[in-house]
Amino acid sequence: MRRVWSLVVLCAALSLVSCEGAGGGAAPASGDEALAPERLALRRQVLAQLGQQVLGTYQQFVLDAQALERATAAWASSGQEQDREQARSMWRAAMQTWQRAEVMQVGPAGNSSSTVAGQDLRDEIYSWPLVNRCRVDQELVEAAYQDLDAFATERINVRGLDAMEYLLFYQGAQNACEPNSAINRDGSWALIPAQELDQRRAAYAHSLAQLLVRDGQRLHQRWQEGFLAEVTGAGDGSQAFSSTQEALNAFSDAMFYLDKEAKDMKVAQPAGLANCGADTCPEALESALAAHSRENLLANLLAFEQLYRGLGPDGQDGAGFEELLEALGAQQLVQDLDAALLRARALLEQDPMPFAQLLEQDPGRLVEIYQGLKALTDLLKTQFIGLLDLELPQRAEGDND
Amino acid sequence: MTEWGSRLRARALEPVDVASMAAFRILFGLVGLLGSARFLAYGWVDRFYVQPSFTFKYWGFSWVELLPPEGMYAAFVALALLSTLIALGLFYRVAIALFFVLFTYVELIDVTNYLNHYYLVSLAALVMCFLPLHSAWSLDARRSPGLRRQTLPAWMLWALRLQVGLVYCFAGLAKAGEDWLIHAQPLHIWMTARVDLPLLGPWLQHWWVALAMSWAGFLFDTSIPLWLSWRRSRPWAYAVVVVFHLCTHLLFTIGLFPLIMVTSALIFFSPSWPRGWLGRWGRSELLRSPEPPAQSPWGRRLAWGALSLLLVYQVVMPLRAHLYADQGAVIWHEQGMRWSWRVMLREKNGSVTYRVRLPGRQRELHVAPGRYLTRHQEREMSGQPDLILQLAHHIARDFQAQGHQSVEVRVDALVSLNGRPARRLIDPDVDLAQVRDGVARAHWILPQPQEPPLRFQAAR
Repeated sequence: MRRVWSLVVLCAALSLVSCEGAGGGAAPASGDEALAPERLALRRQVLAQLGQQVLGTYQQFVLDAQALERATAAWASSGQEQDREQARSMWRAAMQTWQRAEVMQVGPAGNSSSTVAGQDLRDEIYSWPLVNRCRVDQELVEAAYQDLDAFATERINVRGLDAMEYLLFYQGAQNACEPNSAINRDGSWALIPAQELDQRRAAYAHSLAQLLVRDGQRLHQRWQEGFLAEVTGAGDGSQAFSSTQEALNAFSDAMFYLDKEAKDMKVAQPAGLANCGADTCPEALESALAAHSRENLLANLLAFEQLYRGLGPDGQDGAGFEELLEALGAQQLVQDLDAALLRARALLEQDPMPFAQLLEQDPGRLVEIYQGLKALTDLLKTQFIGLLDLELPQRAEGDND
Repeated sequence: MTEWGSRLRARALEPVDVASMAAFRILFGLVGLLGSARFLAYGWVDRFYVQPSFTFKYWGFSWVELLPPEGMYAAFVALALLSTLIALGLFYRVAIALFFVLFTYVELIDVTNYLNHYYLVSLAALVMCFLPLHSAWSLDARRSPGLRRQTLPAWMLWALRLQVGLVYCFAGLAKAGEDWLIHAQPLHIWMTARVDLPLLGPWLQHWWVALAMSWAGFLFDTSIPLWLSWRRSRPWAYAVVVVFHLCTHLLFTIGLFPLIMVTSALIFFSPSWPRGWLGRWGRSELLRSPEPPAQSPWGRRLAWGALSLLLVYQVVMPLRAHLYADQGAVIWHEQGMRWSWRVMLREKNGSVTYRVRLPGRQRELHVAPGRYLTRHQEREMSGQPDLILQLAHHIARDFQAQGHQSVEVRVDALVSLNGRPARRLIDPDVDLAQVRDGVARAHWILPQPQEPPLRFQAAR
């Protein structure tokens, strides 16, 4: 009798729900045309697309690094200003690509302690915010960069794109070390003539460019020959990801770069909104010497958009997180994310003035950029991860109830 | 005493076989051992009790402090040892009391580690402190023949059954809400993310499956104590218990909760059920002679009084949330959320940024919670107003310690509940540094959003 009663209650509830669904504000779900694609197939399609995007970005970076290597070789051999300029231009191109890769730290590029299959390869290429210009100057004095293999094992803050920025864009005769540091105390810095200093910088930059090519190729190879299959085979034989959900979570974790690194570190800190004792902190700007802070941020945003929309190599729309949300019927969230993306991009593109100059003349504009990014990351941290049941990055595993 | 009261008292004092209660003790000890071992093996002691530089306090328990790292490791090793002693029935009275104190201490350290099943373990341990569950199948009974009992009074069995039944009952009543029963949320969100599970996966993308499971969960929780109590339905009900908890284990990360409930529910079986399983060994323990009472009248009165108070407490605590009903659902404002068996009711994700105003400074400082919290703490904190308030106080103290006076702390706390669009949880204009936490209605918490959660589009 009680079973019958339970059945009656269940049927009544179901009919109530049907009425509510028809009359309420929820998304309609009737008719074949309203049906979303089968969810598992769509997830696999999205993962395949995201994997290709990462691979394509690394491939482009290898090409950029090779161009940078040629340009620095030319500068190192000629010492000419026009060759330095060419090298700077190639650095910008490589940095532009790498800033896209920054938002794609999935697998081998990622941190080994917090990323699935992470091998810290990102730090080999770009160690920001671990930047130490004094250490770069010390290496200039020691000239240890001439032995490429040995130098590849040096600490990450004397290698990579960040160290190279200092070598390419700083032309001063002073070093970045304290007066009581070894190279100033023993006079070894002062012994280097100005012209030789330039030659050393060019040779050092060339060594770093060669290492960038190696590291870029290694990262690309690890993806192409192994990790891409882990991503596309998630939940279906992959060793790294036991489900498509885990693999999607890895990409979502990477996209959170926009929150902590981009919004909080690259914008809030220099704008004086966070971790800044003065009204503004221009010293906290990323790539300030190359006046490339805005371009870096824009590349981060474009990479985020690329993953979110699942854009193909030629920019055509593919399968990304946007499609997963649409398949759930979350049209309003998709519209909100679209609007936030457009707004953030417009704020970044509206004025070509370098951030350092902007901080001097109109710091409020940087605050606006922060607000624009925050609007986007607020959506990311709330409804986006909620609807897709994703987790915040580096979440300590534990139980729930 | 009324006739009804006399009959109840007589029934309560009737002897029942000690076997199922002894089995409960053994299983409790083994689960406790497994739980402690998991914490040590998975590195959770470090993650939850060593890495955090700040811990969230329970209201009224702000005096509970973390031990140094070695102390925290020692606490979990001690819990494992005490669990073993409980299972063996060795120094049981001391072991169960110490287990209760130590386990409860560990749970009171940081609110972000609150789990309903930890609360259940604490309560069950407290109940067990008043019961001589080492009267059989224990090393204590082997060492001291005077402790041995073939039977214990029925009220002891009732106390354990009531403890388990209350959990199911209140967990079921908590599901009687619009999100769960009408919108099948958050279950549909969670199930949709698990579509690549073998066999079950393809079904999990359908909303009607989530709805059916929501109703099944509601009906299961509210009625299972009754089905388990009725002898004729008991085997079938227990089979449902096993299947239900197996499903929750497969679908969700809920740790030992399914195991705890599956083993606890055995207490509803006949008091002699383990003897059938143990065969000759179990029967050989049966004593033939009449037994002296298990407790002195004074001890019984103490146990009855304490357990009655515990019962009242356990009924009042889950119901207290209704005092805040004008603020919307408890899963939004969270006042009365803890200690009330509101299990798996919400998918809540928040984005929290504190705004600190310092005198003489041009702009407000924006402080991300990650500056003070681990990711686990941040995620738990971002949907719970009292924790957001606690961190605001901590931030204010931190800036004051740096020499700033008149620190004002406001917060932008946007929260998405069960897939709804994110809405403000806290009034952004209130200086939280001036707000005191308490049990009164919190006016700084904004009302619950009125829109329903998103109904997912059907999939092919």
